[in-house]
Parts: sequence; C-alpha cells; structure tokens
Amino acid sequence: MSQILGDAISESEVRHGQVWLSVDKNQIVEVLTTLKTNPQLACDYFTFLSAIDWRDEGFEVMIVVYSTTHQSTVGCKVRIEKSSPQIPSVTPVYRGANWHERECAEMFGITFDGHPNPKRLYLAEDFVGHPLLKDFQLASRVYKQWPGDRDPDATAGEEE
Amino acid sequence: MGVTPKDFTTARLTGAGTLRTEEMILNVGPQHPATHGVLRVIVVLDGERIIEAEPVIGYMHRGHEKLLEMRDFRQITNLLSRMDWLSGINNEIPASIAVEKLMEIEVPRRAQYLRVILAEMNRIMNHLMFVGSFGLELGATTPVMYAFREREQLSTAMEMVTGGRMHFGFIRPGGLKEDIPRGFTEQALKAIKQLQKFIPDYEDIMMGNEIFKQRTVGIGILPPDLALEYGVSGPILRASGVELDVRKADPYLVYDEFDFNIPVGPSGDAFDRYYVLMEEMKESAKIVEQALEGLPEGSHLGQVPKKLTLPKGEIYSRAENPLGELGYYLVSDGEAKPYRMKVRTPSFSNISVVPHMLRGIYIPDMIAILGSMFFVVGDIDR
Amino acid sequence: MATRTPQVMTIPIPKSVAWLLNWSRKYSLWMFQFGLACCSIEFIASAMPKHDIMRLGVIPFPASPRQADLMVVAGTVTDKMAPAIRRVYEQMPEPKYVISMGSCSNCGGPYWDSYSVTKGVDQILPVDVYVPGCPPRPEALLHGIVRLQNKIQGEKMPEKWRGSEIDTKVPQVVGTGRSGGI
Repeated sequence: MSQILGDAISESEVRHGQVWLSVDKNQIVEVLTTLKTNPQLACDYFTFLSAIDWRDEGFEVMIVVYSTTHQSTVGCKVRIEKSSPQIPSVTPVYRGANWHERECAEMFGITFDGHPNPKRLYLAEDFVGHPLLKDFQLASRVYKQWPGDRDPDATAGEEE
Repeated sequence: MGVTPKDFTTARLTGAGTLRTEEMILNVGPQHPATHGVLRVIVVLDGERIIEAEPVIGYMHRGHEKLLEMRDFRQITNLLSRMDWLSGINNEIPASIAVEKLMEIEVPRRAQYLRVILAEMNRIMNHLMFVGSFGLELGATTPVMYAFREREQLSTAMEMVTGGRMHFGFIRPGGLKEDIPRGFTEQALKAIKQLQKFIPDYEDIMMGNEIFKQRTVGIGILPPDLALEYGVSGPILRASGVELDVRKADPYLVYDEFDFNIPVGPSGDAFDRYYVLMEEMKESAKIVEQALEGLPEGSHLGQVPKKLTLPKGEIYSRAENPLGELGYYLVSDGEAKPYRMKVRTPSFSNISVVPHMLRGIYIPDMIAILGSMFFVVGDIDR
Repeated sequence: MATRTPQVMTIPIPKSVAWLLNWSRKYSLWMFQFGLACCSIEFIASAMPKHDIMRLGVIPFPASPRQADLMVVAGTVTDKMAPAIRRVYEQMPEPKYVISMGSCSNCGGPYWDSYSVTKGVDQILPVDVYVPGCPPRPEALLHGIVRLQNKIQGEKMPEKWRGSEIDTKVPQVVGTGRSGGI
C-alpha cells in the first residue's frame, strides 16, 4: 500500500499487502512517533509487539501498527543482540504496548528501558527462566519422547 | 487543668476530631461467581469508590506459543481452537489462511462459502453466550436460559457437520476436512430462523428493562482514541464509534461478496456494547442466509501436497474473531513445524484498557463493566 | 491435615438408616462449579433446559464453597491457580466429593507438555469420578454424576467418618505469599 516514509529506515519491503520496515533500535521511538503523528501515515491502532528468537543471530522485536484511515498494516522489526537484550520502550508512544512489553520481557528476557511497570504478567511468581527462548526445554518432552511424533506421511502407506 | 469531661464531649461532637478513613485493597479473586473465569482484579478502594484497579492475569496461562512450536501444521488447529473457547472455527481460520498464503494454495469457492457459514454461526454462538452471561452477572437468570436454547440449536447444526460441539478441528489448509452432509442446510436455516424470530424478545428483556438501562447507560465509557491506542478491537471498539471490522477493511475468505452492515454504537458505554452484540447477531444471520442460498458446487478441499512443509517466510494474517482482531504471526524456516507463531489475541488488548476504565467508579459498576468487556480468559492468557 | 481420630461412629448404624442417609445425600448434591476453561461452557450447557442436571437433584450454582458438597473442576489447572483450588477445596465442609471434568483436569490433556500446567487435578485433590472428553458432552457429565450417585449410595458411613476416604498424603501446596499472594 502506501510507502511514504523517509528517514531512519535501513530497509523496507511490502509483503502480502503489508509494509515491513527494518529499524535500528535507537531510532524506533522516533519512527513510531512519526508513524503515529504524521497525517499521511496516521497509524493509530496498535496491533501487537513481540519477539522472535533467532538462535545465534539475536532477537528480533516486531512492533506492528495499523492505520484505520489508510487501512494498511505497518510492521517495524528491530534486531538486537543476545548479549545485551535491551530496547527502548515504546509505551510513551502507544500506551497499549504496556502489557505486550511486559509479556515479551517475561518470555524472552528482553529489557525495555523506560517501561513504567516492569512486573511479571503471566507466570507464577516462582517460575524460573524465560519460556519462549529456544534453549528452554519443556520438561515433559525431555523425559519421554512423544510417541505421536512420527511423520504422518511416513506412515501414509499403511492407511487405507 | 480546668478541662472537664464536658469539654471533651463538646469537642468530639462539633467535629474537631475527624473520621479518618484508609484505603482498602480488595481482591476480586480468581474464583468469583460474578467474573468470567479466572480473572483476578486487585482494586484499591476508598469507601465504595475505586481509586486504582489492576487486573492480574496468568491463571490460565498454558503456554500456547511454546507448544505450537512443537507441533506439526496440521496439529496446531486443535490447540488453537482452545484459546478462545467460545468461537471455535474462527480461531482456526486465520491459521489456515496464513499457511495457504505462504504456500500459495488455492481454496475452492465452495470451501470458502462453507467456512464463512461455519464462522458466522460460531459468531452467533459466541454472542449468545455473552448476551446470556452479561445478564447473569447483573442478576438476571432468564436471558441465559434463552440464549442457551438458541445455542443448542446451532450446536446441533455444527455437530452435524464437524462432529464437535465446541472444539472442531475442522479447518485444514486448503479447505475443510469433509463436505457437509445432507440435512445440514435445513437444520442451519431452522436455527437461524428461530434466532431471528426470538431476537426481538431478547431485546425487550434486556434492553427494554429499566434496571438494566440504569445499570449500564453511561457506565464504562471508552473514548475511541484511547481504545485505538490500546489496540482494542471487535464489538467493544465498534461500540465506541469506530467502524473497524477486518471483514470489511481487509477482506479474507469471501466476505466481500456478501451484503452486511457494521453496527456502530454511539457513545461507548456498556449499553452500547450490548446493543452492538445484538445487531451483530442479526447481521451474521443475514450472512448465513445469503451464503446458504448461494452455495456453489465444487470440492471442499483444494490441491494440498501430502507433505505440508512451508517455504521460509513470515506472514501476519488476521481475521475478525467474534471478540476482536485475531492475528497470527507465523515464522517458518522450511520445516513441518512453525519456527515461531505469535498469537495476537483480542482479549489481551481489550483487557489492558480495564485499569483506565475502572478508575473512579463504584463497585457495583465494576461488575457491570467487567461483564460488558467481552473477554475469554483463555484468550488473555493463551 | 492430620488424620482423623476414630472416635466418632463407634456405634454401628443399622443398614436401613445408612441407606436412607446415603440416599438423601446423593439426591441433594449442591454443586460448586469451579469452571476454569472450555469445559465450564459445557457444564453450563448441562445446567440449561436441554440437558437438565436439576432433575438429578443437583443444584448448580451455590453462592460460596462453604455451602457446597460437590466440586466439579472443569478446565485446565495451571500452576498459578493450583493453590487457589486447594484453598477452595479446604473451605468445603465434609462430606465432599470431587468430579474432575475434561481431559485437562484428568491428566493435563492437550497441554501435557506445557511448562505451566498441572498435569491433572488429582495431584492436589482426591478425585472421585473422572469424566473424560475434550470437552465432555453434557450427557457425559450427567453420566458421571449418576456414577457418583451410585458411589455415594454404596458408601459405608463408619469408614467415611474415620477418614479413610480422604487422602492425607496430599502434599501441602498452600503457600504464603507465593504465586500471586493467594
């Protein structure tokens, strides 16, 4: 859809009708402020914020917003290193990011600088670890391999 | 010296000593007859007025996102439909759409129509549940009985097709698992006609009731710009006056071929949210009728390769769940399991605006507001 | 929970009296529904006019656990919620029964490998009847209640009061200030 941005973006692409931008972590707050306040972009609806754990390449934080007037989705992706997982919080720009960032911090161990209320959201208070990291093993699967974990297509010849 | 008991009494009675009140922290606990499921709200009270409120979630956190990474693409629909347990088919549809778009599978028109029929029937079932339980929380036990009567009719129709009453597991990438049996069209039409006949009764019972109106009009107003910033979607956003519906804004399946309106409420209070639900049920009934009449012939499943491995890529696919916008961000790295599947659930964003709405109101209004914020706890916690 | 001292019921009860007491207990169950998740919807559907549980003598919605005799755990039990369930169970007066409804509360169900789900509510409570299904149909729940009623009919009063039916080896899960300060 409309791709009328300029500054501070390293690369952008349009995929399946949605705009995806790669942003540097220090400029994410400015980019989001521009997205929100610029009347040509008017991204007023905050969709979600989450992260992906690419094992050795670091984390990738995604912030997706949507514009009701132009009806287009814009997603910003920020790469951060695993050694120092910090990113400025976008709560001042979109208040809805509050809970999303708390969840992300809990699941991945990413720190959001400047978040007003960095408390636990979901997990029990004595839970240790960050569940969505790829290194976090599920205890039940370690104990016993699930017998249904066979490829259904390998047994395709046995079906009727 | 010179202080007699009479002076003390006079001083107390003339208000020289003030009555000191403290704030009380009340825990509207995870298990409560009036809240929907296991949502815990910690409120700080001053008398009967709420100063601060904070919902504590996580009592139904089952770890869906981690579990989805361990399952094959065909197995994930079973888990996905258990997140928002009232709208079974609508949870599975955006996941299948994501897979179909990545793999560029074409879905036959008959399957699209059938998906729309099942999705809209499920939307009606979801709305009926909330129509009933909103009344139950305010103390009215009749609407629940009526709502469940309609739900049973619709459940019977869904069960004829899918075999399940609540969790279906019926949508496959590429279409549906099976075609509809004989007699489904009649049963579905019968259920829809009965619903349309009884909707004026529901409107009279609740919206015409003085007590209901006094408890909900003007209570819990959600301003539209705040709602957009928090990511609120669905009937709650539409009751605040914003006309945003993914079925019209970003049409998926074949919604652009049907003629339906998007009900919008004027002011965003609890009464409007209820009104939007009733209107949406009528619109969904219209869509089902149109779809049943225009059901094309064809096959129910497209050309799907036997081995479902996705190419590398990422996609964000969204749909209009009955509660709001449900989105799946699917990251695939070429295997048969998703690498990461982020689920963007509507109730999570809807409930994040609750602390703002509960500030400065009375406790009985809190129950009315929480009942009108239609949410499902499994959707919040995933 | 200490073992009960067997001082009560040293007098043998005549069989007809025992039968009468059991019969009246089984047909006046007041059910406290601990509806956590999807199974609670099927539970509510079973209390509605189409599959009516009131005809079995079971009244569905009491106001508090202190007035209930039967607790139906319907839905997934998470680690964060487990102390609350235990506490509610302890608030119920004797004699009390527990039905575990649905596969999540039977054994963990579809979430068998999750990091935050208690694999089965029988890890924290003694369960009398397990109703399988995901979710079980309302008719299945009715069948489970009928089975429970048969079980109650066949109970021996002295054994029940002596405490052998209550599992006293259940680990103490109730914590102070843990898991959300419950």
